Amino acid sequence: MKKHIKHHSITVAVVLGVLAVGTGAFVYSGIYNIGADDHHTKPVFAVLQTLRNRSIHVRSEDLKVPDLNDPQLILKGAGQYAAMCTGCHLAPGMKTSEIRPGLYPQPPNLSQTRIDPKDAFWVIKHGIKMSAMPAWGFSHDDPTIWSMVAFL
Amino acid sequence: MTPAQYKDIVARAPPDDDMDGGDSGHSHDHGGGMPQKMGQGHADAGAHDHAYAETAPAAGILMNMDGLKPHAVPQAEAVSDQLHHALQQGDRNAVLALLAPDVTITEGNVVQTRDAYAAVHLGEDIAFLKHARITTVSQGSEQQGDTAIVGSESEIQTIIKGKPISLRSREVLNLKKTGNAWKIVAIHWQSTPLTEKAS
Repeated sequence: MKKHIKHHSITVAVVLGVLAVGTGAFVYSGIYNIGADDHHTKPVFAVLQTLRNRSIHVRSEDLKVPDLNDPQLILKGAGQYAAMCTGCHLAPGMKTSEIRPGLYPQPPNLSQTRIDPKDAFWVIKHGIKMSAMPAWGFSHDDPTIWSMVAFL
Repeated sequence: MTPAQYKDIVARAPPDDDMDGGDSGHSHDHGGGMPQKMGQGHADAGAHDHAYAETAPAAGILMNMDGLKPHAVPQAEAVSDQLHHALQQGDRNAVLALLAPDVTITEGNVVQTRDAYAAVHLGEDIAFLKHARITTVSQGSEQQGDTAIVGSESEIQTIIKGKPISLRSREVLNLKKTGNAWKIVAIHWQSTPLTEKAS
């Protein structure tokens, strides 16, 4: 029995080692095209999308949402949105922008898509790695970011 | 939200005065630091290799308005006045009516088409100028066949982050006469602060 377990352990270690070496070789080889004009395969995209969505949601679910129906908050958010967001996320009446066609992953068209307020706040504040979404929290305080969420 | 509702709420919105620094990734910061309006000499309307205003010494960014004389082309100067009035009044349709279909707008470090400007920066300019006090310091023009150049210099006073800010704004318009109407075919904007930048 002990001999059997030892044999299995060696097999698992060898397989993991081969996988680690293979992964390292794949990464270092540069085979994977990181260009934004060469999209991920569907499985890779699905994994990354799920990772992104779960990462955001886990971190945003405990946020306390202020009154997003405050007209002054919405008005302030409209100005913020017009100044910072429309280039990528468009606006009512906008079909596209100069930068948008080249973005990958494509940012949501926020004039047509509803985003969970907590998720929206977290994404605006912290940004998203390896995308064009910046962390606006470096230059904007929380009430201002909530104003954008209220406008959305 | 309809496009008209969106334009209305953006026009009524307070300026974006929360930006730290002049340009946080957006090519035109209409209220966060200074409005980054750029321009260049009118003789070079087709090229766009100008330096960035915020980092250039004031003397180096002045646009060449040599040869422009007040009231030389009154109709073209009137178009310039109409543009300023429409922007400050938030009248998008009036602004767009003055622009030729192939107009280029050089603002920030970006040269924009009519559609691109109408989609984004026009709304920002309207929002920024809504609360600004604009004083025209000088204006001149020159006609060359069916084209004209109008240059103007203004002082813009506004409040950013609760601090009064004064800007010296220079503008050069290239216009082309079609029938009896002058249409703007190129806009170049450039601003420099007259006071310390708000921090």
